[in-house]
Amino acid sequence: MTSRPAEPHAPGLQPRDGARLVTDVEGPPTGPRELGERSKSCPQRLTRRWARGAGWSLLIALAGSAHAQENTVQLSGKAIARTGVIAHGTPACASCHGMSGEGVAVQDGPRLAGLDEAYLLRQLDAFSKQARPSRAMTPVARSLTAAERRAVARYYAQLPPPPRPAATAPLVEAGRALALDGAWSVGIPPCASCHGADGRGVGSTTPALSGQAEAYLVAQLRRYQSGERRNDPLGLMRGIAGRMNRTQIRAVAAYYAAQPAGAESSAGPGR
Amino acid sequence: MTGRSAPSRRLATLAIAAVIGLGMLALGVGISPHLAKHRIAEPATGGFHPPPESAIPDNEFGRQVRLGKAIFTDTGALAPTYVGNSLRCSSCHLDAGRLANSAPLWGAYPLYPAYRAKNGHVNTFQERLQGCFRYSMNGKPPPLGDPVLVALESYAYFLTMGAPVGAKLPGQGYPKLAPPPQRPDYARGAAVYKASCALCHGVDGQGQSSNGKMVFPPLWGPQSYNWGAGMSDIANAAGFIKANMPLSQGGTLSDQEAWDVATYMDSQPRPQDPRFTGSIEETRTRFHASPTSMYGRTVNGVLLGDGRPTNLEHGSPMAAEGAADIASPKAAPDALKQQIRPDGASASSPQTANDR
Ligand code: HEC
Ligand code: HEC
Ligand code: HEC
Repeated sequence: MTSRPAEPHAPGLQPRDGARLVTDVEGPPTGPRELGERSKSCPQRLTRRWARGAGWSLLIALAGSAHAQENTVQLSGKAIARTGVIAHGTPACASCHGMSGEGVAVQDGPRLAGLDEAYLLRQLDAFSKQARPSRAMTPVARSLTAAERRAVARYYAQLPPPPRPAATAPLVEAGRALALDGAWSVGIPPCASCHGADGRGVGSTTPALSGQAEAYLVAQLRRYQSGERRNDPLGLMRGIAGRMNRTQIRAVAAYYAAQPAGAESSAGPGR
Repeated sequence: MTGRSAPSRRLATLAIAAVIGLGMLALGVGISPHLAKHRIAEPATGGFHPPPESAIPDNEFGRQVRLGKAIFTDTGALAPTYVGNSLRCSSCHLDAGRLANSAPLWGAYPLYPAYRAKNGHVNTFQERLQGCFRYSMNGKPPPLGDPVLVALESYAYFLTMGAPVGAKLPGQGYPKLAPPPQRPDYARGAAVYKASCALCHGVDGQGQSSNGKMVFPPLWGPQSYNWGAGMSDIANAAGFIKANMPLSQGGTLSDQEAWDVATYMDSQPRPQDPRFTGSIEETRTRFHASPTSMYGRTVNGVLLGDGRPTNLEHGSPMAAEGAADIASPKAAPDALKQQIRPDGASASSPQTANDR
């Protein structure tokens, strides 16, 4: 759709299978622009890969800056998702979020498919403004123009959510109790009271949790807890995560990871 | 596959690896653990702790208790004949009727039978529950002895096991707030609403659903509680809101903010009081002769209690279809509007809310 070369993103990349992504990739995946950036959410092994990718970005930035200026064509959300924006050093979203936006568990890349468009856009803005600092996502979000963010948010919002994840964990039952009944004695309402009975989220107010990667959920709850992620309206999640203990976090993440993502969350009046 | 030579790749990799190593050190110091914990006032818990779910016995009584809990938390689905809106009992009695300061069932049950001014006689607990369906649920009271009431009563009885009977337990009811420093004000309430409530309940107060199920309940309009409900009394609403809203942040609003936002919320249109006599004026005199009820007053040009929820701010999608659900009383005479709003001032507070 544009004249951009497919490089340097490895064409044979299989992001559906995170393990393969890490070990089989021949060419360097494009890394984030900032060289000092390290993805906290992606494992070390991948980070090393990314380091090389970053090297490539640098080389490409040097060699291809002329090309970058020519590339004024508005990219489609799909193109950004699948191949990134080479001119800005933006890696393909697919490398951490999967080719169908289903998420890549080993990289803590959450699923994006079928999440609410306005919610996704709000997160990209928060990443770039550091209201939700992320060593993986801040540089990515910053490398996108406003139009590109909108396009990619729209793209992921219209993708069908992935089928039921295989995950089953021993903690799931404990997680279910917290998710559906809460722990009011320590001020935690049921997650369901804000994320919906089946965890599919409510419009742009709350995101879907069901079918989300377990490690991603754990990481986000810890970040709310530490205050590192602080883009939550009214400080709602900082408050709630702040009252959760480690076991509760692990249990509830296991529970939601094991729930079917189901159809797109539908916003509507409350009835 | 990249078209670049292997040696140059390795060189670059080495150089970058070094930079990254340093970068990570720097970052590790910068980002690490302890940013101040964001903690919000935790909800007060009464002295009494109801028995846990696991204590529900495995017999016929236990079955009733479980059914009662299910009805309490999914009222419209399990008692559809008696429910006329999209609320659940647990929308207003949080933690499935267990939470202190959220009118918990274990606080209510030991107080019955009791005399209630609302209907002028001694009420059994089941009669009390009938009122909830008629007003809060904008529906029909189930007949005494109906399986719905039996199950709900069993659940309340279960939650009360171990509590002293006949006594008012700490945490019973909603907190009674002291009169606010300033007269409660609609406009200030609107600002609080926008800042702290609209996120979940919607700018138009109609709540939000997910996957066809109500999650954030409507606060006014055709799918909310009617003008006979306890929550339509600003004093009750202020107490509930102060203790419980925004959800998970109970106790964070000031008393003034709670009174203001309750005034705003209870100055919106909602379904007619089922005791409507045919005249708004008479209904106000008989059932709403209280400074904390806005029934029969005119706010923003809308006479509250005319049963037409037309004041939904952002053109609620529900206004049109919901209007049909509501008995449409005779329009109030203009003279009445003037009588109720003699000053014609901006729609504001109940004049003497702070007398309470
Ligand atoms: C009082 C309402 C409320 C409750 C209760 C609640 N959440 Fe949330 N949650 C939110 C809101 C609002 C957001 C969106 C924050 C944002 O915009 O970044 C959110 C976001 C999240 C996210 C981030 C998801 C993502 O895709 O990045 C996670 C994880 C999460 N919540 C987990 C939970 C869990 C687990 C519970 C139960 C223990 C819970 N929440 C209970 C309101 C709530
Ligand atoms: C719109 C909010 C709302 C809903 C929905 C609601 N209630 Fe209530 N309920 C209240 C309020 C407000 C009071 C206090 C009324 C008063 O003090 O006059 C109350 C009081 C009660 C009491 C007496 C509490 C006490 O301590 O005296 C019981 C019991 C009760 N409700 C049960 C129910 C049941 C059962 C349902 C569902 C069928 C229900 N409520 C639905 C708001 C609600
Ligand atoms: C984080 C989301 C959230 C916010 C913000 C919030 N609420 Fe609620 N509110 C809820 C939920 C959820 C319930 C129902 C409780 C349940 O299902 O457990 C509720 C219930 C209520 C009810 C009783 C049910 C009804 O429909 O009448 C009232 C009244 C209410 N809220 C008022 C407010 C007011 C006023 C504010 C702002 C000060 C506010 N809420 C802020 C989530 C929220």
